[in-house]
Amino acid sequence: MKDITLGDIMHVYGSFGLQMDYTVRLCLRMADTVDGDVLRAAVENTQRRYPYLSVRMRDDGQKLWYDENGAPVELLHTVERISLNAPETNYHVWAVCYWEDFIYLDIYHGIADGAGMYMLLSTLLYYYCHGRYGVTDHRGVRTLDDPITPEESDDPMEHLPRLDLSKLPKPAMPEVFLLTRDGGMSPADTELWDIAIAEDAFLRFTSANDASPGTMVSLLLARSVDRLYPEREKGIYSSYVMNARPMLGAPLSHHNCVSSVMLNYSDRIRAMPFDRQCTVYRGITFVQSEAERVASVMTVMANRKRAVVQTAPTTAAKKQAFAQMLSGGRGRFTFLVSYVGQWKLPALGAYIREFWTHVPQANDLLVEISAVNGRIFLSIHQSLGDDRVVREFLGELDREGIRYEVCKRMKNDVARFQEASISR
Amino acid sequence: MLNIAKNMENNALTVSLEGRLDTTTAPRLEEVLKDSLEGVVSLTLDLEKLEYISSAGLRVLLSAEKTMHKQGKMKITHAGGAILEVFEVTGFADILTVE
Repeated sequence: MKDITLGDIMHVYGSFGLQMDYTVRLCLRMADTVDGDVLRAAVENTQRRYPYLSVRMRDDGQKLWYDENGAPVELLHTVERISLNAPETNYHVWAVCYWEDFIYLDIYHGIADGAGMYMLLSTLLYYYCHGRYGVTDHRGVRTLDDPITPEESDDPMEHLPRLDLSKLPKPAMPEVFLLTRDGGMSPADTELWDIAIAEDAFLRFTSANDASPGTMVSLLLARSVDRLYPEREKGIYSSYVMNARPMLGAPLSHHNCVSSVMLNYSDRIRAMPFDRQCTVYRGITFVQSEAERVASVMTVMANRKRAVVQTAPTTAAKKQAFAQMLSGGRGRFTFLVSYVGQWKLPALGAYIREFWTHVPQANDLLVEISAVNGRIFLSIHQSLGDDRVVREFLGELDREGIRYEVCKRMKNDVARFQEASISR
Repeated sequence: MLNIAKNMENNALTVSLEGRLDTTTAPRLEEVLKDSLEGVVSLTLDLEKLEYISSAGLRVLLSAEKTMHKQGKMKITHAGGAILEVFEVTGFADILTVE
């Protein structure tokens, strides 16, 4: 039996409370048609390497928890949405699908964040590329030859100091512009735009203007919203997700261990030349990602979550309480940008043609960025009735001479996640 | 182009910068500070003649502040309007001592 720990707990319960499938689909277009037999062996090896992710979610009425799951992780020959924690996936929290030249890793986001998923994915890809292409370079990849350490399944949020929350000052709540609430856009089912950009051209552009890819996307989106709503009275806030493992000294953890930088496209920034805007966006990320600051923010967060658990004695109460917490947090930013970073395993990257990250919808608009094999892949998720912001963003790229390709527009295809039925 | 002038009095070091602190020149300042800060208890960065600072420059200042936080104090003086604005908007002004 494994408890749901503080790094994961808000999104696990909160997503159920909001009736949202909190899953991620990592979509990899490989160099060739996928060999199902080789992939099956890769899935088996990967499952053996990550026993702590080989679990089934349970509910005893008081709380959710994970039970060990010895059944094989499923490999499905389909491109359709699947269901995790359900019969078709042997009640596992992750599964692999394939279709033509695509491999899809479907995984529950309540057990791992992007960095945690990349660890699992790199093992899967290594064993696949080893079997399919004879790749032997596994530097940076966890294989069956590596020991499974306790640090991999440890949640650093559990070790943060306890605080008396009543003594903390009430945080300032800035006035945030939301596209639906303030911009008059109608909410709609999530639509994905998968957009590929040549990495060398984009990096030349970002470095010439003193930005990084993530801050550049954040800034271009903020400028896009600003163009559409120049008279707005509230601030455009970008939540830029960061990996907090280095700040919490837990590089190996699979748990959700992220914090975020809040980038406010203020009037002062708006009045600056473009390259100055890039500089200050990066400067803000430096300041807000300082280890002490991140540890402090996450300590407060861990204590708030702990307080919610203590006041919600049943699973249903926890779902409701964390749903409120999650909803409140989502009103604090206009859009979200996440970039796990450049794919760091070139021996495997050589066989990846495309790499898309499809995630549950966190708010009106979010962008997932990945980069591999000379291209940057943006998956823009919009839950809006019109696509003006995306088109404005593409217009920003056009104006800057950045060539891109809209590879796909589609409904979100992340897996469904079946709620555990109460069992005592 | 960045000119770096150092003046050490007792354990107080003043580093005066002239020109542009950008991606190209920031590594040189980083190197100079790395080689000079041992035993220093007071570091002053005089930016009177600094015309431009990039994110690479900001990173070096943040790193210097971290080092000096452990062994003494650091302050920034005479920053011009544009650079001061960068400090204010980014939040660096809350971390650094800017005079």
